[in-house]
Amino acid sequence: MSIELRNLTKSFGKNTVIKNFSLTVEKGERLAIVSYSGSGKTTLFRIMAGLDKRFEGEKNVEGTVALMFQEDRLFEHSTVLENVTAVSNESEEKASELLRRLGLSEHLNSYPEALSGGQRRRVALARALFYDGDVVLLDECFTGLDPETKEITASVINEYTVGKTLLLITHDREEAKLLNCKLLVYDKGFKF
Amino acid sequence: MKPEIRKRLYAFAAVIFWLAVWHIAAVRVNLTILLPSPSETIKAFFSLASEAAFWEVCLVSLKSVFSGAVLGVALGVLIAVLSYISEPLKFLFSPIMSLVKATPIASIIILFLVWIGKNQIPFFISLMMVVPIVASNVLEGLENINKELWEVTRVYKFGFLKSWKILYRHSLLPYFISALRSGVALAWKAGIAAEVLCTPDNSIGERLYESKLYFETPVLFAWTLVVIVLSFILEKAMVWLSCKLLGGDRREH
Repeated sequence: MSIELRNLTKSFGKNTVIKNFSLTVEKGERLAIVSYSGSGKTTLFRIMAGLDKRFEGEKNVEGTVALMFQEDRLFEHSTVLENVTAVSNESEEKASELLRRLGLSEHLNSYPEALSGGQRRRVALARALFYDGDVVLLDECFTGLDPETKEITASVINEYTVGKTLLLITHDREEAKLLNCKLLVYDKGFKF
Repeated sequence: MKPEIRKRLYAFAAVIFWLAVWHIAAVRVNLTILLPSPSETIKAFFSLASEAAFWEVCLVSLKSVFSGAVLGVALGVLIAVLSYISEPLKFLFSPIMSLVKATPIASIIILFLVWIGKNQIPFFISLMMVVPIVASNVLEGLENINKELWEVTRVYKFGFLKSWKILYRHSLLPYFISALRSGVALAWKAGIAAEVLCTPDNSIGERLYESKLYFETPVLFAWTLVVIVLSFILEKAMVWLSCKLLGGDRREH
């Protein structure tokens, strides 16, 4: 078992977004969580990553967690390469190789402000993959990418997440297929 | 013309303009005791600088203001950090900071004159002027750290040094440098005011007071010029040193 959530309930004031939600993810399992906007998917990831500790129920996540946020959240005073190498002690060469695979070889020394939305997204993804976490959480990782770039990006994700537990938040079921994820559809949200 | 060169030319032209205004005003008044000309002030300045005691006097005042400012910066940062991590402490420090900011400097100087020796007063006054400015600016900087990026440092388990290098310094240094600039200038103003009122031995304030007593207005202007120059040098030195130590780029600020 890699992730176990038991009877999770999370409220923001009087608004309960997650209620009695349980989920067990085995080690190495790949899941895509599909639900409507505002259902609490991102909140779920925040709880799994340990960023939100104010909830009821039980949470157990084994190992380190790499989270690609819904927003890019890049360090604007650091170059693309520095943004990626900051999360790991691995060599710059390895980070450069990963960025090259994601089509960013010409931007290694660029600052995030010089990048397009899709390029920024890929830098954020590279950072999550370079961290080498046991659990990889990807929140809408394909946003802003054209179909061709999406396929290349998916193959890089698949290569870098072999043997790891992967959870994907998406609206697009095709994206789940690209990452070989089992679909978990919550049409009515996470309230039980 | 390059913008940088144009700006320097404008700055130089502005100085020349105001010196000319000063000179014309002095010629019109035609009474050195009321308004000495720039040339009379410069002459008085060189006359002072040629005396052996001049450097000793500068050093006495510089020591008081510099040590007060440095300790003030350290205390200000400490108060800001404590206020940031503990809300009760923030409320505890808040009235003291407001009180120090609002109380007239003259009242504090006179009170200190009653409590401590006159030679230590400029040091304490400089310190007191710097603490609230640094504390409030650094606290504002801490409160404005991008929370989303802070979460990134938590998810990827950055240590303090890495977080400092990649996030904190870029958020905090502009606030800190701005506080340093205002604080050092205020430390000089208040420190010299304290020296004039308390006349510590061999200080610039004492010399200013004497020049007023003997109606040596060019000397008064010359000592004022010395204070301006010292303040400028100290501010630049402290900003440069802070950027060097804290790893910032001075051009950013």
